[in-house]
Amino acid sequence: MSRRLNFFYDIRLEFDAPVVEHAFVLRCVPPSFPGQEILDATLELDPHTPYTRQRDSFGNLMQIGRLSQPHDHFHYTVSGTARVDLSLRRPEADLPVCRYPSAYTVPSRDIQNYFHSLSLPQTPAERAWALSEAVGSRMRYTPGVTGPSTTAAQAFAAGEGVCQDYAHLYLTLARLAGFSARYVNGLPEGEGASHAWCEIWLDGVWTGIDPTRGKWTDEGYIRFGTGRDFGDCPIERGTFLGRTAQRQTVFMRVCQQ
Amino acid sequence: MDSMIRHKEQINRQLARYGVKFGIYKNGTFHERLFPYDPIPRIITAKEWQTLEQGLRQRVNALNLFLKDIYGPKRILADGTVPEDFVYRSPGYLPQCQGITPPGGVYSHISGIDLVKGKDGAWYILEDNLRIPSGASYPLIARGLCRRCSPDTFRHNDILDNRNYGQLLRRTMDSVNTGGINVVFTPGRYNAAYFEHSYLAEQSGAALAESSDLYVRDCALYYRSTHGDQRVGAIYRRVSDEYMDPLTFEPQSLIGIPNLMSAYRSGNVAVLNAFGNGVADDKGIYYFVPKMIRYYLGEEPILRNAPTYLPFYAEDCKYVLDHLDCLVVKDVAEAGGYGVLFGSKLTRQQLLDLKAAILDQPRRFIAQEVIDFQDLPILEGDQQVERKADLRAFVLTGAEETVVWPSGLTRFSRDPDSFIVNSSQGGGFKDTWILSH
Repeated sequence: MSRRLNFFYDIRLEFDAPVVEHAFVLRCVPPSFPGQEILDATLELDPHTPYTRQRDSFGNLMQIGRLSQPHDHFHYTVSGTARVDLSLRRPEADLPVCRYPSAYTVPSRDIQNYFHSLSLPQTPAERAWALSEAVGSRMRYTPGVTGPSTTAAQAFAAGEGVCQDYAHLYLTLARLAGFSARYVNGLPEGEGASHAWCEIWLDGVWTGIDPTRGKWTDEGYIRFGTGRDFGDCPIERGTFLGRTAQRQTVFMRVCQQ
Repeated sequence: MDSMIRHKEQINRQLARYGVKFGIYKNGTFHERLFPYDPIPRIITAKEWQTLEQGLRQRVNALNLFLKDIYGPKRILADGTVPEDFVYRSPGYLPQCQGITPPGGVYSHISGIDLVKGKDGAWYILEDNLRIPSGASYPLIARGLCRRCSPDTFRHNDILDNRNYGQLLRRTMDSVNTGGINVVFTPGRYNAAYFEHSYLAEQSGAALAESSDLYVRDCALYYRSTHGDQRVGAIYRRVSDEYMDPLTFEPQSLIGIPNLMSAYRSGNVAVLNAFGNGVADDKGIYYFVPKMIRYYLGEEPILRNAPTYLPFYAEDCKYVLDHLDCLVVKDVAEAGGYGVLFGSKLTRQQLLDLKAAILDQPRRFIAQEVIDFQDLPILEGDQQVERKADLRAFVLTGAEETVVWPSGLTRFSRDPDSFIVNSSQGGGFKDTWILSH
């Protein structure tokens, strides 16, 4: 079933004191691919800054730029319309590198033991689903205990975390099970913050699964980027000069048109 | 030769005065140490050199083709000639580089290939260094000093001049330069090879730059010079991949250049050596280099590998476990002479532990026969003694050609019982003479 979704994503970075030499890479504009058609998308930057568009090796759209002048905030907003239709998803090539551990998804001894304690069903789709349940039964959703650099092993040891941690743990288990599985950043239907989930290569199709919400993804998900883990496709990454504290405010909304 | 020996102290004094130093980290602190010079050169005849030169060119050409394949179509994996495990589990493999063709199609511009000469007279490859091999400056500067101390030696022996290294380096940079100046990029003076960085910049006519001297704007790299900002067309970087661009690799890096990757991806700057070369000089991939030569070039390898076993293969694993006490085992994740274990020197318990480690993670190790290599004479006080030595040959690949520098770094171990000659393990060096006849 095809759905048209309006999306709005807004990030404000505020610095206590002006910073300079601010270089950034954004991956916040959703790309079009079979199953997700971006009908229109607008990106606005404040302060107004020219940027270059590139695609990284995972095919993600990037907006790359630099603010050399002093500034005390960096604010970016992306909005537009997407048509999502999962029946249009097509078989794609495997990404063998997504079968191997990456920086965030190295299985600790504990994760390996947990994996071996699971009794997994026969078919690949059932196994992929069982692994999502295995994540859900070990993790408690708790904001604030983990951060952007938390690995799957650390989150597993803590037993709690947010969507990024659920996704990393899922990828770790799926790769132990021999699946090609990748990390996805994007927006789910609703209001709040951006979300992370996974895609698993099933019968040649990259199929979305959301271990945090315990469901296969549906037409309410808009994808920004993919990679081996969070490190390959952060929505925003930047460096700047300045001794200052930084605050971030995020807002997003996705709703039926 | 006598005149060379007479000048040993003088040359070592001059090397110290010129600041020819090597930094080492010991117990977590940085020490600068002089790199002891031994006056008795290693001598390689023209005929022997001819074989070495051909073999090294062949090897480096195959390694460059391998890198182009791995970051492109990956034919060699699809064919099963190299198992994909050895690529995707390699810490040097950078998927961020997939699909990027560097200017001129060259990945390893400056390759340092380590060899030893066996007692049987044959040369064996010990390892390939395709990331940021160091050491060319030491024989280069020592040769200059020797020529000054003892000009007759060089008048009466037909020794190939090696003082053209700076020009070779410059020619290599120019051949891939995308328009703009050449720079040598150093992490700064607390790096083990800082002396070399500044010396090579001077010799090749490139600007020496640290991270604060460089920035990326509109996907192009610029150098802040005293005459305003200049576009950079080639960057010979002496910083590891993971620290080069905090927006692509290690986010905490303070010594990198933010968004350098965007300039590289756009083809706006040549990076020497390219990112991601570590996948081809991994100790595990070493086993496959002779296969690569046959695969990409359709030629038989001219130079030999040390006989190597991969516990990854069941048959090799059995051999390794049965003969562990006479093999040398290397941990593929370690470099610089660390993680090298000689079976003959291990206790029973250590051997058992090593066996268990190999069985647990076979991919992590390679095992090699111990090569009985020729010792070289060195001076210890007034006495001439024999020590283990290797040779690092420098092979330069530009857009048009691959050349071997007619010289090299001969390193020796000062410890008579040690087979490990890495400078970070406290060895010395000597000049390498290539004869013209």
